[in-house]
Amino acid sequence: MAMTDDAPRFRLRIIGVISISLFVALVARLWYLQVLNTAESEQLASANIEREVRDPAPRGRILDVNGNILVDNKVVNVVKVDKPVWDAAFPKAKRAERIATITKLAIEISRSGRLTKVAELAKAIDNASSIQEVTLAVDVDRDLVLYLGERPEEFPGVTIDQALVRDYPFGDLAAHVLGYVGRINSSEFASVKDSPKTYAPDDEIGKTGIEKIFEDELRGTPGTSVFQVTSSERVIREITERRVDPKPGHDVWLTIDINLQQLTEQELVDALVQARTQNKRNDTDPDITAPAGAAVVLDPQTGAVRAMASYPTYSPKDFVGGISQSKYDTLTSPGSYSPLTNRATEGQYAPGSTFKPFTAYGAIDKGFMGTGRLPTVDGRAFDDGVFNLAKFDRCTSGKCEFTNSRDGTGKIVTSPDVDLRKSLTVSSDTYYYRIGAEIGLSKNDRAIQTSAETFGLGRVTGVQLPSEASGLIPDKDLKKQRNKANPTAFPFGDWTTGDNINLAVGQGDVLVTPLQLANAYATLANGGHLFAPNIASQVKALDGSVVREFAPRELETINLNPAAREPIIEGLLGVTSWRDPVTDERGTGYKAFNDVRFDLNKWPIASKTGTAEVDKKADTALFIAFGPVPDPAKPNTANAVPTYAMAVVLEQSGFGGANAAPVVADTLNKVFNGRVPKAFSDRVLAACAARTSAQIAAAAARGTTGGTGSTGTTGAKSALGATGAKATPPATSTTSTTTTPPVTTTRVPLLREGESCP
Amino acid sequence: MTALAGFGPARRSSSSQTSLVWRVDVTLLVATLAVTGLGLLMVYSATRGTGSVPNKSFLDRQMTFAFVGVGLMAVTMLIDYRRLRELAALAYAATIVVLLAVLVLGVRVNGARAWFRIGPFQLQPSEFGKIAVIVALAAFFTIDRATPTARQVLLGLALAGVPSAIIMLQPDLGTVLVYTAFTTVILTVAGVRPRHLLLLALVVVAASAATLQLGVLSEYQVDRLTAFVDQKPTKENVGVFEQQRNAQTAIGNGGMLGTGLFDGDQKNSALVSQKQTDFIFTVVGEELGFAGSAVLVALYGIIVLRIWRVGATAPDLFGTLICAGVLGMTMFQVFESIGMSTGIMPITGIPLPFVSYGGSSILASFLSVGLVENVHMRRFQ
Repeated sequence: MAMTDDAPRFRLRIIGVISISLFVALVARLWYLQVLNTAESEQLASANIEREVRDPAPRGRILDVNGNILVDNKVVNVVKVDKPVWDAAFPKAKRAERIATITKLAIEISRSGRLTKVAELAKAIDNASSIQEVTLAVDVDRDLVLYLGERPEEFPGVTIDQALVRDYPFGDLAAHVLGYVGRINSSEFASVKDSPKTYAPDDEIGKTGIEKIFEDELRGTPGTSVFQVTSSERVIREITERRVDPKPGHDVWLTIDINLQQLTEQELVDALVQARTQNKRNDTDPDITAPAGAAVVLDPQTGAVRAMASYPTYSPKDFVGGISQSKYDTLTSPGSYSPLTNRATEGQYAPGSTFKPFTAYGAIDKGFMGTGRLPTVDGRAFDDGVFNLAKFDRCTSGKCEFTNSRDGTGKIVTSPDVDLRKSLTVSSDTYYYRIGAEIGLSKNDRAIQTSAETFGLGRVTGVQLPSEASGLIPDKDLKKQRNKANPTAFPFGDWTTGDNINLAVGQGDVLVTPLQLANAYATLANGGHLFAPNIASQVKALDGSVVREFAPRELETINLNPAAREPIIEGLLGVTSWRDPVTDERGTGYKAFNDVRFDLNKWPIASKTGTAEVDKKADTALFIAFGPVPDPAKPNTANAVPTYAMAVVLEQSGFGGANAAPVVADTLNKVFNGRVPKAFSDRVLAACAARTSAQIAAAAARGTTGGTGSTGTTGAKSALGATGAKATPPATSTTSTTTTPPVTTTRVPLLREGESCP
Repeated sequence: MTALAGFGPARRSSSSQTSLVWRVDVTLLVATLAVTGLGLLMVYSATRGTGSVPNKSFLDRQMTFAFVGVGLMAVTMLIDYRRLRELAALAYAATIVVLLAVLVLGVRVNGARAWFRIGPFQLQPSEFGKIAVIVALAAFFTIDRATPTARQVLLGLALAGVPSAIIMLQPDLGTVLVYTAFTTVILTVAGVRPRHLLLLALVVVAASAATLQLGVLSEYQVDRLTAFVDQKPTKENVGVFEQQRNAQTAIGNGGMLGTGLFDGDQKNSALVSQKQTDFIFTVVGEELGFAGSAVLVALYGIIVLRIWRVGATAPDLFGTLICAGVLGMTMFQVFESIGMSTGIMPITGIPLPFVSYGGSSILASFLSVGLVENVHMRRFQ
């Protein structure tokens, strides 16, 4: 029997020992995993089963100086498509069905007010990665929400979500100042990767304007919610103690007054439209197309920007939820004259005669007047309209005869008894040709440039807006440098006397931005305080506490030479007010201010016209003014303090006095008389339109109880139509046709407390 | 004296049956039932879901099988194991036929054609085959008292090799490894010469290397092995790593006392696939912690040690070899199943005896313990 054989027993014992050691190994492993290693595995464990979800924070608002909300947030319906579901429903074999569905979707989205092309929709769906949710349309109406909601089987994976987007209560007003937001791109993403306000790859970021420059303040800090999920990603519960609430962004308050902004924008457009009606003097002259322009209103005492307009403009609403490619192409095509560009800060123009005060300042301050061939400040001479540069004046580069501009009949303008004051009032060019030549030939040949730079021309003002252009004040060294660097584009390297003459009248290579001009005149107005203009006044948290405040930023206090400043301001005062009762000779801005019956006795205005020549294009019309200024001729204005400085630049528009000056005259007239029209938000306008049409409908119903029933129903119908058409004046709503589809907008905006209708 | 103990003539039956019942190894029985009970709890916890009405279908089926298993164990205990020597050849032949049949008629689950579908149940013949092959090997190595010759060793190997080869065709590497394990233990205990064992070990190593190289194994099987050996995720075996990491994370998350029973779907073990079958230990580890895991391992320890003791006190070599086989089988399955969940063994599909969800596994486990009890009950005869 085996009993006698010990070998199996012995071997079984070995097996037993092995078994025991294996059990020991298991327990040891368990001890390691479950007791020793707990901290690590607990962390791993929670990472395994918890999902963090980002809660986007609302962006801060942008308000005007009086607290009107210019940029707000609103909740909108968003059409999205769940890519995996969509792909599953439309495999390669079902191409035709897929296209048909996209077409149907594009039609429905377009019908809801968001014009959408089939190709663009298809591209958006195709380009998305297979796990994404793709946004197809933002801010669609309730009809579409209902339509899609009722047909899930027809549009597989298409869902309606809600999103917080930018809202612009005042429509397109101040679009360039406010800027727009858009989806963050890779370079922007790289630049904000260290920001405490974490960004996700599909987040929005300020692209231009205040939205861009105050991105850090406006952006909220996203929060996080942590959810426990099952392995199939089903949410079980939220771990509330781990929740971090999103922090809304801060509000940015501007120095802009939306009422003045609206007026300024309107005046700018009107002036351009008016300019287009002018006839050319000669057929060979370039067309006066007046396509674009800019206007800036500053407070010379603080450097605050009161209004800033640029034309053509755009609608920031188009960027909500992503602008369509075709719209963007239109906005950036050359024929559109760059509506996205803020010409007030990014447009660079030859200042023309508006530069003359700075030439004059340089000439007086550096003691040129009364020396050489130059008269004293008070010295009068007849301006025959022609200035000839002699050979010994180093007239070497061709042009040796410089003339005044020509009047409406083509005759060169002449003027008797021109002194420095009158040279500004009537804008005598030859007076400045002479100064330019004299300074150019002297040892102190940078006197004009130095003066211009002192007033902040040719460099960025430092306003809180992105992409500001610096402008350019050319001189000897720059010309040499440019020629050396690129002889093809700049064939001449020598600074000639002619160059200095051109500079003296703001021509040649000199370039300034409208904001620089306004700021330079403001500096002249306030007695030498050069400010970096503020367009934002403060940053406030949601609870109203002030996070940042922007006090006036005085860059430099220029010790303005009164011997120079006083005659210059007197000359500028004459532009709007001087008229020779005998000869009927007038200041170049006289007509514009006279036309609006501007009370110059109450508010004396110093100003300057400019008509800058541009190669192969019609002249740029400029006008800069500030006031009210103490006028020595009007003793009751001795205590006046200049509180407004305004610059207007109109491209390819002709004479500054005829075209640009009316903008300023009309605007300042309304400002000083307290007649700036109130700007109404779109919501208030819609509410008022609804109320008015309801009143009309009620009146019509009352009026027809006697018999003529037909008019009553027509009135009611059209009144109903008016509630849908936002801001439609009631006058047109009564004539609206009966073909208007039934409007199902259920929310009629209501007026809030303290709001009134126009 | 030995022949008809269990089924003896009526004159002795009542007293001997009674005395036989008293000779049952109660410790083994209790430990087995305790593990089974714990297993039912874990299967329920792993499969009840998170709905307001818990899913009891898995539990019901498993309970049914447990009851059938206990009955099967009782029946096994009644028939004197020594009679099985005569039946061994028949059982073995039947096993081969059934294993071949499953290759043709079986249903494919998780990529392996290893199951018969019988009504609402699925039966895995390779599980029952384990018992048949153990008995066959025990019978074969007790034909001759002497130390097995080389020829006998080879024949014995062939005996285990044929069903293993068929199972490999399903393919089910895990079960084949179980066969290998208990065959090795039986050969060792049967007194095969050390040099034969050594040679055998060399052959096994060479054969393993060859299988890996020749691509006999499926890709996933290779991935599991390379993942274990390299401990470095690659594109191919990242899923294996994920599974192993999830399993270890879940077990680690249990800590000392566990996260508590019955909400497994909210826990890390929910990320582990096969959590009610081969990876059920992750549920034990997470919900019951080290304390519960150690109790389970200790219960297995008791089972294995009792089987060892029965083998050591068996009245004959046949009984010893049966116990050796069952010991090898149980030990390997426990070690591999817990080992792969805790990351000290590569992943292969092996159920945890008495605990993993699966009828065939639980029936075969009870059968094997029945056999061991059978040997124990008749140790004085």
